[in-house]
Amino acid sequence: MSTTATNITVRTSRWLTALIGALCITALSMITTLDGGIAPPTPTDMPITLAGITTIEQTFTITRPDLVGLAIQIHPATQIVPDLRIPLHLRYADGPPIDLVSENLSVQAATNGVIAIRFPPLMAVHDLRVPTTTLTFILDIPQVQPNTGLTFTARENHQTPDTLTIDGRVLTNRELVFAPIYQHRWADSLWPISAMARGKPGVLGWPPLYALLAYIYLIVLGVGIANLRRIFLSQG
Amino acid sequence: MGMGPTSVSLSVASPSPNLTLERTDRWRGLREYAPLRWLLPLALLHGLLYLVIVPPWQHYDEPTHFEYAWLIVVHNHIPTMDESDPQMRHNALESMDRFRFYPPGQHLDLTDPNPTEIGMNQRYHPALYYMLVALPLRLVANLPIDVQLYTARTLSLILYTLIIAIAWRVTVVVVPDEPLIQLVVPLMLLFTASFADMMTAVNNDVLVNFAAAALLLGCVLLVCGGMHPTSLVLATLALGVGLITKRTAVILLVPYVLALLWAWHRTPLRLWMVAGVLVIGTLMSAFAGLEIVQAANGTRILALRPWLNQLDSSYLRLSLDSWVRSVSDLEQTNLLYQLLLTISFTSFWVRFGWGNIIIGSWADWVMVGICVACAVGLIVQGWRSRSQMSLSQQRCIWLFLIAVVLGCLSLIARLHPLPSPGYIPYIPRGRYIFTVMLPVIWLIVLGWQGLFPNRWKHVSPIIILGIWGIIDLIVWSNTLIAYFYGVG
Repeated sequence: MSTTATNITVRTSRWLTALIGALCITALSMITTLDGGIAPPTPTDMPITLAGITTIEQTFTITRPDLVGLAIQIHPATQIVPDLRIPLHLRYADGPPIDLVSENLSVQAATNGVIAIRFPPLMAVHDLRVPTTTLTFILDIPQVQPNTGLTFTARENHQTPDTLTIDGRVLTNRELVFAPIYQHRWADSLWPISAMARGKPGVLGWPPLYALLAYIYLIVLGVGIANLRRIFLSQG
Repeated sequence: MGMGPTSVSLSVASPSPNLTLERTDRWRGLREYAPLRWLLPLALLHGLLYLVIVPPWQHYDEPTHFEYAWLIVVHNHIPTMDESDPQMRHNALESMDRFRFYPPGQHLDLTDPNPTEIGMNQRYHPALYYMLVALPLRLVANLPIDVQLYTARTLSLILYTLIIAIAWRVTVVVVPDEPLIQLVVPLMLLFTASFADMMTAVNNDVLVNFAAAALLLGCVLLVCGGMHPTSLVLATLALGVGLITKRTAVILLVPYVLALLWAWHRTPLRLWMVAGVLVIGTLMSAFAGLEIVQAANGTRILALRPWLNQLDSSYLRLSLDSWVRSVSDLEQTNLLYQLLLTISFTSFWVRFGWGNIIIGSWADWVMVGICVACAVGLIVQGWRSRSQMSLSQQRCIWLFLIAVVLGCLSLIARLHPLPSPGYIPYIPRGRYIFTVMLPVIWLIVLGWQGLFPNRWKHVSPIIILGIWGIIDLIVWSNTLIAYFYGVG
């Protein structure tokens, strides 16, 4: 093989390696997992029958960034309830009455006694606009026949100051059985690309961009260092 | 017979010796620019990292610099000091709030439809830079304000990239036989984190710094190549752009005049003659324009003579008298100079954002150590290499040194006139002399070489470059991230 052909092969293989590296970085930066599940039943669990209730409000404190969903325990109806939808509003507990999330919970979509909703990552933690990291979700319960058997679950809570309010009445030391769902991006453990992208416009809001940019920079830096080395050796 | 066509073909195909030489020259010319193939992308990517990592509005006066350009786009004229747009300010405040501009606990009333201020009004500056920023802004005028800000920052990024190319060219002109130094100087400028941070902001300092670098290229071309029209036009144009962008560029006049002098007079000048003319000229000017008076606190200070005071009050209007009195009052300024030295030095090298982000006190001390060592090294190197350097090289280094000294003096000058006792004066930040960053880097590299014995000299640029590269890596991958994103 001639020197030119060898050079072309070497150059092509370098480009390919760099490209594969970029694809790997992008792929790894996109891997996310969900954390958060309903705690197992306790002896203090008590059912809340939806029939006759208008609103249920539950406050909770965010412990991590990237809240992406809520899972609420629900006992399925003993009678068929045709496509019952429960509107849910997620707001700051002490902030302005602006809906951060407004979704309908589809009772029919409940699996294994849990009804879940997903929404784009919320950044209440580390967001100084938020007067508090305490949020509240409000369930506007539609009219349900008394004998349907559709119930949520409440349980004793002495650990956190979270409150459960049903039709304006505060139930002290009680909370709805639910779980916040957080998104965890693997790459964030190395470099907080989710935080860097959060709230930024267009392509700047895409977390893998930051990892990719750093990678390409380091590759070009490597090329520069190789050139410096060549010159250094030729001088030495 | 069979050779006939071949010989004809050969005679047609073979280039003449002149043509071959011309091609070789052109090839050599192109090869000379080969480092830019990776240096420019590296600068662009490095700047882009700083541009995207630093959240919107997190540079010195970025909201109000942006507002100036924004008003030009929307109103189609240069705005007056009082002009503003409540909706724009509201959008900017909303974005600043969203990107955690304000410290914890400070919350804005975003329901106020007429927000008053988003920072210090910048409209006392000349409009050139803002008119340039307005060009790309027009293309995104209907997009959200964050997008507009990033678009404005992009212009700075382009100028930053071009400065690195200029730094490379300056070095090639000054040391054509030192390929390693030709890369080390632009790379060190590239790795200077505070400079990269500033150069990717929306701020008129960016254009002044660019003009200063272009002027320096023009000056070294004049010094090394003589009074060539291209060099003269480049230097003059760069000086003009600098002067009509910001008054901090006024210090560039001296290197420009010196370069013209040295381009015109290309034989050595006697040192004693130069020193004599300077000393006598300074003494005569001082004697003609200044007198010693007694200050209110009893100390002896300098003041303008009446004729100069009259000229200043009726024509110059620079408040020269109060300035001279303030500068010569050493008793009052002694402590302030110490403060100025600390603040301007640290903000020149290792402060980011609004000057509030620090790497750590270790970085301050590393930079103090390097600068002191390089100052010593510069004297050693100057003595050691005095016979090895050509006249034009010596003059270029003098040009760099004079630019840096003038930069330092301009910072001191900026401190004056001091306010009345009891008021704390504004201590100028190091960013005001980023105009001389390239000469500073040059002197650092030279001084650093002076610290090493001759047999280790070739390794020294790599070591200092390594230190710069590591500090830069720490800044963008950790310091800024830890500050802005709460982790790292």
